[in-house]
Amino acid sequence: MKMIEVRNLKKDYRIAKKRTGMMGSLKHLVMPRYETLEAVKGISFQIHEGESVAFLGLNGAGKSTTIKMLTGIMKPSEGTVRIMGKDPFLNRIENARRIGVVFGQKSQLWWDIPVIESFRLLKNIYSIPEEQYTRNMERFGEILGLHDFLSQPARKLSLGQRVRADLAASLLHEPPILFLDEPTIGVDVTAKQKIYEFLRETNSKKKTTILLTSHDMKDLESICQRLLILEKGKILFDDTIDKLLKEYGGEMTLEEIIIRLFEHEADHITG
Amino acid sequence: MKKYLAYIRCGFLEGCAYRSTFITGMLANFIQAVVLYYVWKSIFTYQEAVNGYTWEIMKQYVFVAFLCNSVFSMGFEMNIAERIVKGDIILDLLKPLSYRGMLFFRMLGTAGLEFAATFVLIGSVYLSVNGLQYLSGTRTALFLISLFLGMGVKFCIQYIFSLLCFYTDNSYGVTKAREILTNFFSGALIPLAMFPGVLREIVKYLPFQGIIYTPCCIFIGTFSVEESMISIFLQIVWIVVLGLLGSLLGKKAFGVISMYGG
Repeated sequence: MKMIEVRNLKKDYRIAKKRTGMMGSLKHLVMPRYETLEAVKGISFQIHEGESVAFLGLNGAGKSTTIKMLTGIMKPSEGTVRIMGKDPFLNRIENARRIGVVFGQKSQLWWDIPVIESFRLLKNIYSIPEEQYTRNMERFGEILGLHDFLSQPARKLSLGQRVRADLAASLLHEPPILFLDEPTIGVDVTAKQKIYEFLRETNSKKKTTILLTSHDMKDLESICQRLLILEKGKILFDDTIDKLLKEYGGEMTLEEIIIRLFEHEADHITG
Repeated sequence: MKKYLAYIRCGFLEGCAYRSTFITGMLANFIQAVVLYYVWKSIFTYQEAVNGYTWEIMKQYVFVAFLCNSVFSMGFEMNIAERIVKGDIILDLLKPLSYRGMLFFRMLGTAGLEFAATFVLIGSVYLSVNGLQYLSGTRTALFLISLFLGMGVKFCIQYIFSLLCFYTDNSYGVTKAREILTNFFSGALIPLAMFPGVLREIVKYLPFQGIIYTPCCIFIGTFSVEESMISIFLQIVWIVVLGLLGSLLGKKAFGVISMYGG
């Protein structure tokens, strides 16, 4: 079953073209100039049920933009997105029920009230049955070690604790699709291991489809089988990680291959 | 519905989280109400009546208007505006419920505590100044309905203003502009009956009077029961109109979400 279907997806941003210096700022105030930036330049791909796919690309390659369009919070400039057969932007509320999202740089936990209250709220928002809620809270609590800080407000958590709690929050309603945008940012090695273990289990047992972006190769290799490399808004590579390793003779690590790939691409563009 | 009620609870807990902010806020409210009272008192020592308003009416109006204005104050609105500017709004949009509905109930929860405390505080000040002589059961009941509808009108206006933050980064400017506009045209500072001719006419055709002036006049009795009914109906009309306008503008605004990078 096709969980995610993307066809010729494009996103343009209109950004202010600011000039430098004092005169430049004044000029911009009177007569602002804008330019169009093509963040995503027509990409197409499909993801099936139970797949775990990693999005890889340099800063500004269009990864987060694509995720935002897939989750239905941003309107594509062109092209179509189908999440389980439906347009996520037009069916935002329906789509939100089927997906779980973690943005590593943001938190959905309430800043000033105990973490457990955020979870209780999610239980009501998604109408999670009592039995499912207790079961998941126990399982997540154990694997991710949440029990120590559930009564603390989110502002008192360390970054690693916060990310773990956010991960649990995104999976409480057992969504068939999970989007993770840099979920291990600022997380220590042991916490990372816990997160990997947790995600692998969710992926294999629950058949949850996972789409992940990260700059950490360890993340990608530990969680995902398939790799989608984005470069300047276009797809550079779309196949399994194993295949990429084989193509380069099986001697190099993923990180070395990626560095070479991007260097080669840069040469190609400048030369 | 249950999911929206859950937001009242969280909003309430959030409101309780900062005890000292709450206490100082209340103290500031109290001082402000008392100052307003004395300002009007001194005005009326030089003049018997202003456009039909006497000191008898005014010493009720000051406190009732203050109570009406204390619901849905500016703090929470700033918070929403900032979430839009910073891009945190995407987390709210990822939830399977209406964004506006969520805001309303969350705000209701946060405002609940503040309103209850103001109600007790300003209520007792009102009673110690005016006693029970002006109170009437029917008018109080109509007042409470009108007060609730006034909150609706205020919320609709706040929502429309917050959408402006999709186009500008200045969340403080947007919320401050909204506050000044509503404070002046709703009758929070000066009863609308005291406005000079043309302005008085204009204000009649604006939605702002429904926030404070309408419930105040109903409570004090400057509106007859029939007039009260008509103005309550007008409040409902404005909620519908502003609500539709908000939906329309919301559709446009959500289409321009474009947080590049973050």
